[in-house]
Amino acid sequence: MIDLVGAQVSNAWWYVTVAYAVILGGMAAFAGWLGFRLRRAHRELDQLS
Amino acid sequence: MTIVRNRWLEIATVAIIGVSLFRSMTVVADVTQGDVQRIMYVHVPSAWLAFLAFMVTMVGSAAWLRTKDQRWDRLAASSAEIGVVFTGLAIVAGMIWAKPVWGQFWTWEPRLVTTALLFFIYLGYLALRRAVIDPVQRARRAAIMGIVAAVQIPIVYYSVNWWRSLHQPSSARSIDTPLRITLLLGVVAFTFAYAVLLRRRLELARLEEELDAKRFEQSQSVAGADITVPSLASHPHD
Amino acid sequence: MTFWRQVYEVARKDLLVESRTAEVALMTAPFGAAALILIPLAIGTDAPLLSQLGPGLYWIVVLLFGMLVILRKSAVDGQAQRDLVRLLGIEPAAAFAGATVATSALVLFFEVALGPILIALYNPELRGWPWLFVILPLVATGMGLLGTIASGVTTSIGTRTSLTPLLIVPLSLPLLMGATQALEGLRLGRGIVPWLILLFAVDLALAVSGVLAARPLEEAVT
Repeated sequence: MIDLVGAQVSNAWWYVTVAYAVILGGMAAFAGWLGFRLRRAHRELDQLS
Repeated sequence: MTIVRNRWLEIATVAIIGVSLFRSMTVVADVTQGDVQRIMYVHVPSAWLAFLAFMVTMVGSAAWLRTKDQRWDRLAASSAEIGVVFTGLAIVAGMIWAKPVWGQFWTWEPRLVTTALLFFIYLGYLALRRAVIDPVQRARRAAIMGIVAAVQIPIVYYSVNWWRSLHQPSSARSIDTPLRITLLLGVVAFTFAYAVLLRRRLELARLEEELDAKRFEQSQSVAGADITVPSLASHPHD
Repeated sequence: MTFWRQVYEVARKDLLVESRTAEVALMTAPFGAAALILIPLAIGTDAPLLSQLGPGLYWIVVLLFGMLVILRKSAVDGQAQRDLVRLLGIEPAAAFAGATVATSALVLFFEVALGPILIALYNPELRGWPWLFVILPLVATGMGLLGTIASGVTTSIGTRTSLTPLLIVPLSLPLLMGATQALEGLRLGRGIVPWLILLFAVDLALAVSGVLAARPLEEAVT
């Protein structure tokens, strides 16, 4: 019965957009952060050798 | 062409995520939950990845204990870091989905509770790794904790499941084929994403080990440094 | 020395150390009791509410404050003590089992010490209370096993007083579920056996993991 609430949610697409933005954005942000750490590690390694 | 060859996995991942996203937005909406149900196509794959990543951590831990090969420890650690990210994302998406459908952010559903506990287990695992300096000790202690946790997680899930079934009837619903295909596509897309992230994280782990080794090497003063030729990089009396 | 004699000696050593300081009896148990007294002041002193929530709150206090019982050993056991145990030729599995027996005994003591406080303040309905003679030891054993493993991997780590509880608490959920649902089941006249089987399964899984991890754990401390 309570599941029927969802069918009547008027701003459903707002929730969907936020959820997708969080997930895909989160993945992209993590990938970006990894890239930053990789570049920093390469830089430090070049400085030491 | 070299770029394509080197980055084929990234390109394929972006492509499949694009296809999955398109499919998720255009597939027919669920009868009972409406469009809000589309959140499932990112929430479920995230949770799936969270558990997959932990299984990889467990395999890496067991393999390290057997072989003592540092590559397995790098795999375990890298997968754990990615896993904690996916676990966090899965929980947040689950909360965004729960609010419009059930009127509250948290539903005490067994899989959600187990995912939340998995998050804390990951945090503990990563905190343990951060606290140990020696790489071999770190690998050994983390491997032990990884395996103990992996053995307990199914028990955690079943205990929450039993508890839940006593307090609430199971609301398991079968899903129609078009939705099932969309979900499967999402799972495949996220698995590709995991592979990309894992590969980069493994590279980072290898570089960090190399850095630590180099730093250690340079911090050791050479015996008789005063009379040996000083290296160009540093002077013993700096 | 036979294996079981070694287990006995290690457990006896730990309990002897504890008997000298009486940390669990004189400090941890009163701390747990204080918590049980503070809770109604925060959530309300409505008698039916406390009667219903009492058992659950008791187990939460046992679980969280039981961490202090578990941490006690890693605080007391220095490198010298660990080296001595090894030099005496005690097998890693026996050292693990002995430490677990001692910790479990102390957790059981803690559980029993808090029992009268629970009954006095919360007046819970303890139908089928003889089953507590099974439930309390099973939970104590599970916490002892988890605690010994977690203490083993966090030895000599400066942040272990926070890290060890963080490692233990999520994994101890089945113990909490088993204990609370067993009592709930008794109260409502439902079955208790599945929950006892769960507690036993958790203890068995942890015991096997712990014994197999005993040797690597010992190597992890050198």
